[in-house]
Amino acid sequence: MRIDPDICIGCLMCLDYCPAGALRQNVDGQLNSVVVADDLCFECGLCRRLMICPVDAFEESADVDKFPRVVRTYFSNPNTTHKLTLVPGRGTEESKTNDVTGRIKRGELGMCIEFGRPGLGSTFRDISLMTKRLKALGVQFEPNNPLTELMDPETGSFSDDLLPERILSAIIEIRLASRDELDCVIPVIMDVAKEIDTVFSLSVISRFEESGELPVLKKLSDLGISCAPNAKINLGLGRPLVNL
Amino acid sequence: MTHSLHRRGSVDSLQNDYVFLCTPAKGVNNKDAANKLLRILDILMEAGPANMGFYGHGNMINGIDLEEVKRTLHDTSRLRCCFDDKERLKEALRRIKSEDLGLSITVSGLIDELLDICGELELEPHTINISCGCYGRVDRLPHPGILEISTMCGHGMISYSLVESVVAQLHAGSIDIDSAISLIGGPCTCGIFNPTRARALLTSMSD
Repeated sequence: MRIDPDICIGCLMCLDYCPAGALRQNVDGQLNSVVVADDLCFECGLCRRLMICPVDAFEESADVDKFPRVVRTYFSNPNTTHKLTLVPGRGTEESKTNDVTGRIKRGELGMCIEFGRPGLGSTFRDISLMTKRLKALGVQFEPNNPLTELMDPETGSFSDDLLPERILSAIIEIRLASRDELDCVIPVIMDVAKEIDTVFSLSVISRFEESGELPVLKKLSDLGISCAPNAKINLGLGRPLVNL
Repeated sequence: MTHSLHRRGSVDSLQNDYVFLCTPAKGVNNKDAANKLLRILDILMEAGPANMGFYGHGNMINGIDLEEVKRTLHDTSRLRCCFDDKERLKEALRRIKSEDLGLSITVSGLIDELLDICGELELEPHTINISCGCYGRVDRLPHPGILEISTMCGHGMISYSLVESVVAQLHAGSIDIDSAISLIGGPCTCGIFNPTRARALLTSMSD
């Protein structure tokens, strides 16, 4: 995103809205304007979409649709639909449709490691610290995920030109064949947490047992992970129901 | 949207806060899903959500043209809304279940409350996405009260600086609480920002 300096009147009404903290009062000569810090901007488009500017000074950057900058939009603008998954937002369905896709079966687990959330954003450099370590462990990345699509399948890394790109968030989505794999995966995730310059939100996807129990809760507790009292539950109303 | 399970707050604060999503599954049951989405949308509106939103149309807090939304729904559209009342949510789920429309429904909220609802409505919960916390540079995160409000947008569109600024304006008496909710809730296109919960949180912060 950029701001046309000839149009901006410097009212500063937009400053607080930017999730990336990329809008700055211009103190370099033209005191009466706002500028977009190009390196910080997520290209989420919120400033323009909200129409908060009284003089319509926001306009798309010339390179917003060009690689590698285009990934900022894909991973930051919820109005964008991924070409791979046809899913808007960050492009994953995780547990939302598991009742009809059966991606995660009883005994298996899914994990979502959402980099940059809440609220700080992330670079691909930070994300790659996690994906490379997980790849070395041999974990299975969710194939129908836009982050996996960008990843080197051999190393779990990303191309050098992607590494500095800054996005609002991206979800590393992996599948574990059994709860016991958490014994190896959780320590690695906690180890990488010490190396990154942002945050990630961690979640675990599990089928309910036929009895309605969730053995994974005890497993997570044993590994020192305290779960929140709130969660997202798929109610099993999708058809045809996959009950595996 | 994965982030609706990561809404921050105490058990007390998270009561009466439910995020409803309806998702046709691409390549599985999205064929001819638009008519089912329309029916579910009608059921939701009759039940009375606290907020609802659609890409490109905005949300209920700042006004939305539902007839225009209905004209643009397609087979891979999603329905997203939030409820601030357990009975209203239950009524919506009861009717959706009875019509057996076959689209996947997820609800985010307190686990114990959701399982109670499932028991009452004889629903068999299929899958859970469990929030296991936040890691890394948590020292860079703002005051928990700011997080409780900003994490009510599932796509992270509510900036910390916006919440801080609005809270400061409330403290100064330059805006009222209705304006504050409108300002903060505006960026949440999906309409899962719960204005009732926001009112309670902002009031307690103002106190």
